Amino acid sequence: MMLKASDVMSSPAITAEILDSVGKVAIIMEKYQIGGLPVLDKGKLCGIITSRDVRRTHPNRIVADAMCKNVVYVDKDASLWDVKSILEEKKLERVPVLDNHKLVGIITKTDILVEIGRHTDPLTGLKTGSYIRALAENILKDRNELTVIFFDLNNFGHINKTHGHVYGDRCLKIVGRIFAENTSGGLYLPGRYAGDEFIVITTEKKDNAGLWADEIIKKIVNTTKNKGMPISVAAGIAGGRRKDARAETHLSATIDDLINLASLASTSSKQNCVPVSFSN
Amino acid sequence: MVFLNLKLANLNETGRKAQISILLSEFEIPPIQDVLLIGRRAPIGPEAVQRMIDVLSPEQYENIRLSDGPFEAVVIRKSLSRLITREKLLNIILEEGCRIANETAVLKAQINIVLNINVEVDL
Repeated sequence: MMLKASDVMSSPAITAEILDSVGKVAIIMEKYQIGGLPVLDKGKLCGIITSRDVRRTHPNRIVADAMCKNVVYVDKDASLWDVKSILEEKKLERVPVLDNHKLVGIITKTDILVEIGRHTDPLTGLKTGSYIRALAENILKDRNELTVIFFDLNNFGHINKTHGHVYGDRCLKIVGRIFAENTSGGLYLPGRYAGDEFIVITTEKKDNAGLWADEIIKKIVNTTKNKGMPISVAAGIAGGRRKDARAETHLSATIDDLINLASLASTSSKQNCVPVSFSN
Repeated sequence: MVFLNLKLANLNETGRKAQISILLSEFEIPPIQDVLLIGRRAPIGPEAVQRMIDVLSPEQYENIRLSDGPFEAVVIRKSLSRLITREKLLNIILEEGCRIANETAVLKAQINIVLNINVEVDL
């Protein structure tokens, strides 16, 4: 399920009225320990006033003479990742959330970071499968190419049983680091799907994704071998062969299909003792 | 103007005394005369002034926002621009205003424009 602005926002938002004094706003900000308030005029959002505006304005002034009128807002159904992008692009600390032109809440940068922190795997430092799924939905929504690569460590259950789970966790950390180090460009987005399974999504076509997956597998094999904990990996690839951009109506179902196909392709790689297989 | 000065000395010979002065004068409408210069850090801002003139003297003033200098806005009586162009008047007002005021000031100005016209006609 894609996380939405309404899942993360603080609601109801603490607001100021357009004819309130700046002095009153300063008291509200101090009382609730907040750095910005959406401003309402007859119930409609008309601006936002921040602690910076308050500091540089005479306290006798009305809010209308201190607030920023070009207020950036998001819809309650906007994805969390879209909200994050808006905050980063516009260099904002907070953004009001509207539902049918009515203010329903506010999201701060901290809210976003806390939520994203929940989607980070503590062992490997990679994003969780649900985070990657949400990114994949965004890629499809923007009508971009989407390729899913599913990596499965071979015989990992046996490694855990033979060497213990602490040893197994060390292996997973090494694999996670290899993924992180080889995806810094942003073209490939890695996550830990579950247990010993990793997922990577990309806007590259399937052939390029196949070459990339092959390289990663070689790096994992060599690195773990050099560290005395040899691991082999099987990968499966699905998607990445869209001819023309088209509107996706069931994004979630499409992503389910792609992950499933990539997973089955990785099983096929295992069975055929090849590093990478493509789904049909 | 009416000035009332009530001495209450006889009301209480032994206790404390109060002296009440009342200054009555006619409320000036509009209260901002011809021009109002609003400093960037003044206690009132252009939006508040706009609301005031909208209520007290609708459609009689123009609220001009300024991007530079100590003043955030200048409010000018519209009728003045029938005698002199807005730009000329604004330049003169701002030049003089900047000499005596800073960002915290709100200045009101009365502008008297006298036109001297000499026309020669055949007798």
